Amino acid sequence: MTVRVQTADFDAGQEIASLRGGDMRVGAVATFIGTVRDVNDAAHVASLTLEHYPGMTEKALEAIVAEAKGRFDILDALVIHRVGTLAPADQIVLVVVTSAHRGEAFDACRFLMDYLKTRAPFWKKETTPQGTRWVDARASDDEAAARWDPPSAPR
Amino acid sequence: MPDSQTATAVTVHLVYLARLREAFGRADEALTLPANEFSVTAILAVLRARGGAFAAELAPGRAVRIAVNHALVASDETVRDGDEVALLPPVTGG
Repeated sequence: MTVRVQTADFDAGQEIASLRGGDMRVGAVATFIGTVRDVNDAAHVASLTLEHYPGMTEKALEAIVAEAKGRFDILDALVIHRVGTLAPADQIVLVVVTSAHRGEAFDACRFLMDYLKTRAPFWKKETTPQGTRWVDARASDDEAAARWDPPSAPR
Repeated sequence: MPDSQTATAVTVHLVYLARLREAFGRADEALTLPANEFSVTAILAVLRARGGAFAAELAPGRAVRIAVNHALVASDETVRDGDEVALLPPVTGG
């Protein structure tokens, strides 16, 4: 289990090969890559600056990965999140999950992204022709994360 | 040495992230809490009482989350001398 916060770009192929590491138990590898779009909320985005809370970010990501490991039957997981200033089409985030079968790999990969979106201390600031603006959190992200909550206990 | 906690001043290190850092015009500051008021709620009350951007950004109902020593906490969490208390706007990574 690994998490990394870095300004440098990543090579998904290399990271996947490294995570698999020749483990013969792996029968499924699910990968998610988030990238920068050039339009958000009807405005052209020239660049995106990602800020985080050093010290807490790594702990938050490690807690999310540990949670995934507890919930799903997976072999390993990797999360890389970039910070600093990025341009449209740049890669932002990489999640890789290995497991014996595809169902657990798909589910864990989606869970990791849904939780990261709502629990890891990252903030996006966009530069548009009208100036800079902090990106607003989306209610749809909270709803996506809430799908993983346990059902309420019957009363 | 003080013989009880109530006699000890509690000073926390406040950290402001992202939009809050810009709104408050500072990244961090030290804050000594009123006697016997050692909760996150008390910290927010002291900051709101300053008015201006603090009152606006921390108004009840605004989505601000609190982390004490890098872990998210509820508003009734108790803080201790030397704690790092961060104010986080809703996160937007990924």
